[in-house]
Amino acid sequence: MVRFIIRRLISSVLVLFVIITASFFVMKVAPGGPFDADRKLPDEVKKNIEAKYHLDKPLWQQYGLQMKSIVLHGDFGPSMKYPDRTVNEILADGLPVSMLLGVQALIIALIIGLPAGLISGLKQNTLTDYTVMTGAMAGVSVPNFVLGPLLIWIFAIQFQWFDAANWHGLSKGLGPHIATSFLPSLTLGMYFAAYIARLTRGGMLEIIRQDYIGTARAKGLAEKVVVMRHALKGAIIPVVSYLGPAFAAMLTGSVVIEKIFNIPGLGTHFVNSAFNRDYPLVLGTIVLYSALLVLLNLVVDVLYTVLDPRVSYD
Amino acid sequence: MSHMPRAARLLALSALAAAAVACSSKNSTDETPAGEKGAAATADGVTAADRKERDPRVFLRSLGEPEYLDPGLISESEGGIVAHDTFEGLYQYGPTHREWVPGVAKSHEVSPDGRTWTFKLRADSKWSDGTPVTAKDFEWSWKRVLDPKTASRYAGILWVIEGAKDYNQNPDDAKAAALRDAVGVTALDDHTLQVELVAPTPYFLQLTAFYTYAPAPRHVIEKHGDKWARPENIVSNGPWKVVEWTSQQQIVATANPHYWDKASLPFDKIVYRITQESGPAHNMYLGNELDYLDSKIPPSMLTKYTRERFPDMKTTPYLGVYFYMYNVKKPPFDDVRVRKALNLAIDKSKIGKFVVKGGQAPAANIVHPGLKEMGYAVPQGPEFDPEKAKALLAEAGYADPKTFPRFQISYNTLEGHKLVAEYIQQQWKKNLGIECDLDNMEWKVLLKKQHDRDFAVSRSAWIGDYIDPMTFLDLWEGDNPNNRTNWANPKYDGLIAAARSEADPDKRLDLLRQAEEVFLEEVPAFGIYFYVKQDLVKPWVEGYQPHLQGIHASRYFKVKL
Repeated sequence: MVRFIIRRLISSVLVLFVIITASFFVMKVAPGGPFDADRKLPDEVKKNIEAKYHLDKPLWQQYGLQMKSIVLHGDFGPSMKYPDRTVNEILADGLPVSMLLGVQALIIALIIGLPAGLISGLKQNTLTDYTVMTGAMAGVSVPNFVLGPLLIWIFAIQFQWFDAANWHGLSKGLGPHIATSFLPSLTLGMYFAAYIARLTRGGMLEIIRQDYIGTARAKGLAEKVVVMRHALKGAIIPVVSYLGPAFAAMLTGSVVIEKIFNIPGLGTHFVNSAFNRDYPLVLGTIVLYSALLVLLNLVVDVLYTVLDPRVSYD
Repeated sequence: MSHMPRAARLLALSALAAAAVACSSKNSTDETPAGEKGAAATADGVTAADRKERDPRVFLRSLGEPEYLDPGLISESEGGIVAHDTFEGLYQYGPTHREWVPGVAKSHEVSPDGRTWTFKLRADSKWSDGTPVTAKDFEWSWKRVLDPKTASRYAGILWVIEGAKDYNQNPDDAKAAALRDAVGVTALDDHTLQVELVAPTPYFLQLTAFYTYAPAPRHVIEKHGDKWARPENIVSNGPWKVVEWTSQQQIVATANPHYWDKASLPFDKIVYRITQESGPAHNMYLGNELDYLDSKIPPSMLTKYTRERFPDMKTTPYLGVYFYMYNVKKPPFDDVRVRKALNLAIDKSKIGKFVVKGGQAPAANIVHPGLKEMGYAVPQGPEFDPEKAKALLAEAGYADPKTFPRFQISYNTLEGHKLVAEYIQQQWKKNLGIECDLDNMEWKVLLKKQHDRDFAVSRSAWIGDYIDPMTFLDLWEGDNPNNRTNWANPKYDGLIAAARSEADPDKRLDLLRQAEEVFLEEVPAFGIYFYVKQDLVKPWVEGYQPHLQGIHASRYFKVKL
């Protein structure tokens, strides 16, 4: 197990190296630069700015400098669009916000998805099942850029129960935080709730037919105990294996939600840095997202062994 | 599981995310179906009781994320909005574009040749840390902006000062000190600043209110270096001082305790709520979380608000022109008859109402007509005339429109630009029978193509920096880096040069008018519409007045609860 993790970590570093290298050269190929604006800069001024960011050096040298700074110091350098701030600062500000949003969305998704899937699975082909699954289908189908504005219109503008867009984080206390973060978390979590419901239902249907469930019932256990103690653990394995990719998808998928609800997470930078040709920030966001995805995948693979005795990496 | 596919997946990720947002941001901002219905229903009956912030001494206004807060480096409007509230130049912008109000300067004198300006500074102007603001601060700050090492993107606006251009463009370190000393700005004593200009510049007073001309605190910059303008270090001399900047959330400014005129300030605190998109900003406004929505109205709401005469909406002329330009070295646009014909064949009167939908005035010329107010006789540009257009095209050898070479209109990807391009494409087809293709691209790609002159017809726009026709006309000088048409006309350049050195204001305006007539005759580019600015102002906010430059400093507002 430990050997497996070490092996995976080493290969992850290689993957990240390839990603940084590829991203670096791909972004340099894109036409235009960070300091091209509607009003053209006088050549001397532009030269001075470029020299400040080493953009006047040959490409391989820029790559070397950037790599050295990242590997030795973990430093992506100053942002070119927001020169007062370093990329590390921008990422450090945005990551917790995106993570918090992702975690909240995941909790909401589980709170809604698990019970819905369980009930549906236990009452297969009844009206309850059909209702829940229709709801889940709708949840998967409605895109978040429709759901988000709809929720804003109903709950922030018509009823004014929540804020339309005004993320505070936890700094102002839990109440204001819920007021500003509930709608985006719900919007983000809805698709995943629906998917989790379908996975749980599927898992339940499979498990409930297994011999050992029959045995449990034959022992005379109460149905509640059979379901909660024996069936549930097996039924949620597909859900657990889905959580890693789901959380990763939430982090990256929150780009859209962050735009709709004006949330100061990583998403805006992820997209806008590319448009702005803010090279260090582009690299920073890509590396951060990649590292998160690699790590989450590893965590999921390890979790498999804990939940499912049939899986072993040794 | 092999690792390569995963790496490949990760690489594809950024492309996917970008694509997703490209689709969705359009939906979330431009075409929010939900916002469409809800808006007026609640906004109509909104009263002061609905304002979420109960303190009338706090002002809530919208903002996009500024690049930085150092006034000498700012080059975009978002940073400018904050700078106009937190820094104060010799003069400051007034509540309307017709007046400039003394700032750090009490008064000024201009020499008869219009080239030497002497400013008397008030003695009680102080930085927010209590240090006095002196004439030396201005001398040092302007030279800092011009220092090539500062790499200020807006330094060009100081080039009207003697020696400024040479110093700013000097690549040679050895000469720097001498060139720096030769810049025509001198602190005669702590409260007297003398400025030598290259030419009589009637709009110089206005320029002293522009953020690039604001003083910067030498003692703070020398202590903190590049990081001086961060909220924890910043020291400013305007009515307010930035105390917090939470990226993508808000900037908070509180009253500067040392401001010389602090008794007259309407607010103790200004909160600039930062949003990148118009959708969330507009939602915040409807949720009564903003007092003033500066421009950010989603396009889909404009028609509705105009139709319903939504009382919060203010539509005012804005000193900008939206235009199409030709690459005049690229056939067939090297033929002035072709350039004229294409301009004549567009019925511009419908664009404001039906295409961009903000009631923008059609542009027959290039200088904004708002400048009539200052005595500029705007020349009459050509009106829509499809018959004449056809005749000109025939004269140029294209009697049969099928023989006209197919070309492209290049523009950057944005709904509004697309609508205009489609309209113009259709007008040319209908009125002249010529075909063209639309070529949209990312903003930076378009800029590169324009700079490389790799286009036939392309969209652009110009926003005036000061209230004078020169801001629209020097743009077309042959050597102006922003003239991307390849058009260079000695007669035009001569008229602009003559206007620049003319001390008599009436003669000067007349020379500029003649230059614009040359431009209209030669058509290297043609105006499509003049900008309007559209803002939403809550009923409890007083003091909003039209400003041609769209500068609405917080000090002129008031909140009545």
